[in-house]
Order: sequence, then structure tokens, then C-alpha cells
Amino acid sequence: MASCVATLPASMQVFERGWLSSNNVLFTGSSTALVDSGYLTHAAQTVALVEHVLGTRPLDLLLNTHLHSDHCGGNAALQQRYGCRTLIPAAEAAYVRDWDQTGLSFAATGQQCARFGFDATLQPGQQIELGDLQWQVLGAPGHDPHSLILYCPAEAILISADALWEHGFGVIFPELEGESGFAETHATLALIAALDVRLVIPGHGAPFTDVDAALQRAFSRLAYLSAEPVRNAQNAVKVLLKFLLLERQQIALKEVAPLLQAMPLFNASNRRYLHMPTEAAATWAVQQLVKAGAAEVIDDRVLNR
Amino acid sequence: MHAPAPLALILYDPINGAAPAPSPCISVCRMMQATGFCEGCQRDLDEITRWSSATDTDKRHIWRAINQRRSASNG
Repeated sequence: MASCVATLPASMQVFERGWLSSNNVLFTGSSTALVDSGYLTHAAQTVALVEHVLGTRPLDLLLNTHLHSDHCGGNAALQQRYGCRTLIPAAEAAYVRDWDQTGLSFAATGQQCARFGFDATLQPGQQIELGDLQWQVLGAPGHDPHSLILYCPAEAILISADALWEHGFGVIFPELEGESGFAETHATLALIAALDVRLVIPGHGAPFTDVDAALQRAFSRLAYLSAEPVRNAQNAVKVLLKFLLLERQQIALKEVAPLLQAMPLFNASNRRYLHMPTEAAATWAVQQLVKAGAAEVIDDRVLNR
Repeated sequence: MHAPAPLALILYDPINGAAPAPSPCISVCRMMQATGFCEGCQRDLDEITRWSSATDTDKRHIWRAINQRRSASNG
């Protein structure tokens, strides 16, 4: 296997986290910066990882590719520790200013995020210096309408957030609520395909170099999902349940349906696509995770696997 | 009442396991003050921060340490 990350510039370090927390990219040039901050329940570790590398240096800047709870859940803790200047996608600024948890995605997904503030915004077309390198800020709608990705032409490195992973991409959330997302995902993948990229640092999973193969898989997955939008909704329900399971590690079977029912995004998906009684949807989702090896049922509980 | 379920640890044999060595992260990302290891993956901060840029050989070294820590904590 190619140990691709050996070729990262000296001013960049990737903290590969799991699936509950996004990866974090730490820049240590003439100033320091962190891209994305993981999930709330991991915030203490996120701060510890940053401190471990920075030592006595401060964290000067924090920026988010998008404001899902697994990408910005450590913002508050990092701001408290470092008082770092913080940049967020411009399209989310009003929601963050008013801490509108419905406008942000936290209420819809039943996920937690501690309140944070921001100093300025980022939008597509901007340039930003990170690790003494110039990065282009590009719009990457699809998974999230306001997501940004960061591209460094000099190094041919892309920080792709949840727009492109080695095997797929994040759930296409807008479609669940009847908004367009498949077309945007396609356009974002096409935008990435047109860039000269030798290394992708995804929002989750290990950095990878075979970008063409990843793009091919992503295009083919998108074709599969958009051919029958119910598949996108089924995938979303599985992912939302897996997220809960990662957060809690185990859930009583009888709690699964009420937990799903409490998620507006589940209800929107069910009303529009699944058309199942909540209990049946809960049983189905648990079975799907077990089948995929992502959960195990023991007695009356479902356990993370 | 339920006994707490054991965590869904990832198992890996660093000598014979297939390449690439998998990430041991199971999304229980809490450092334990007493040991300095993460409760979920049994790595220390240095091992977690360097994981992404580590060679496969280095990852197997880290896995050896993880396995030793696990057997030590199981008494």
C-alpha cells in the first residue's frame, strides 16, 4: 500500500479520527491553523491532540469546511483553550450568530454541538494561507449545500471534507427534505475531477492518492442513489442510527424507535420515501446495520460493532 | 440491569495481519488520565497524532504496543 501521507508538506499534519469525529488537519507554518474540530464528546481529546503537536505555540486560526456536528463539535473547546480566530462558511453565518440549531443541522439529526462564535466567514472563490501555502476555497454542495473544500494547487492536495471519501461520500442530506442534492453532488465531483490532485485528505478515513478510482466509485454510487432516491433515504437512516450507536456504543432495542422519531430528518425521510411505521423502520435499520457488520444485537440491546 | 457491554475493539495481529494495518479507532475518543492512553484505541497522544503519516511498519509497531496494553489491563 502506498504510504501516501509521507509526502505531506512539513507544515501539515492530519489527525485521522474515526467516524463520529471528522479528521482534523493541523497547519504549523509561520502561523498555526486547524481545519475541522471533530465531535463534541471527543472535544477534550481534540484539544489534547492539538496541544501535543503545538506544544507552547498557540492555535491562531480555526476553520470549518461545513457545520455538521462531527466537523465543528470541538470549536467551543478550542476557542476556550486558545481564543483562536474562527472562520466558518459564509452561508451559515446568521445561524451561528443566532445559534439557530434548526437552521444548523443539529436539531434535525439529534446530534449535539456546543455553542461557538466566529470572527469572519469563508466563501467559494477566496484564497487563504495555511501552513505557508496558498489554498483555494471551493464550494462543494451536495452532502451539505454550504460545504467548502480546500485546494492547494502548488502541492496538488485537496481537503475534501465529506464531498469525496476513498469509498463514497457523505449522505446527500438536501434530498431527504425534498431539495436538490444529486445534481449538486455530481457537479462537485466533476469539479474535483477537473483539478490536478495527487493527495486527498477526506473528512473521514485515511488520506488517499488514487483519486481517479475514488471518483469513479463516487460517480457510480451517485448514479445508484439517484436512480432510486429511496436508496439515499435508506442510507441516511442507517447512517443516522450508526451515528447514535457510535455516540452511545449501545442502545436498548426499545429505545431505537423513539430516538429515530425524535429526529426531524428521520421523519422527513420516512414521510417522503420510506413510508414505514417507526417501529418497523427501527427494526429494519437495526437489521441493516447487523447485516453490514456495523452492529450486533445481544439480548435486548443493539451494540456498536 | 445490564453489565456494561465490552467495547467493540478492533483486533489485529501486527505480525501476520494483512496490509495496510487498520486504524484502531472505534470512536470512543477519551484519554484516560491514569495511563495516558485513549480508552477506545489504547494509543497515546503521540501515536494518535502520527498515525496518519506513519508507515505500515510503524503502524504495526503501534499495534504491538496496543495489544500489550490490552493484555496488561486484562490482568
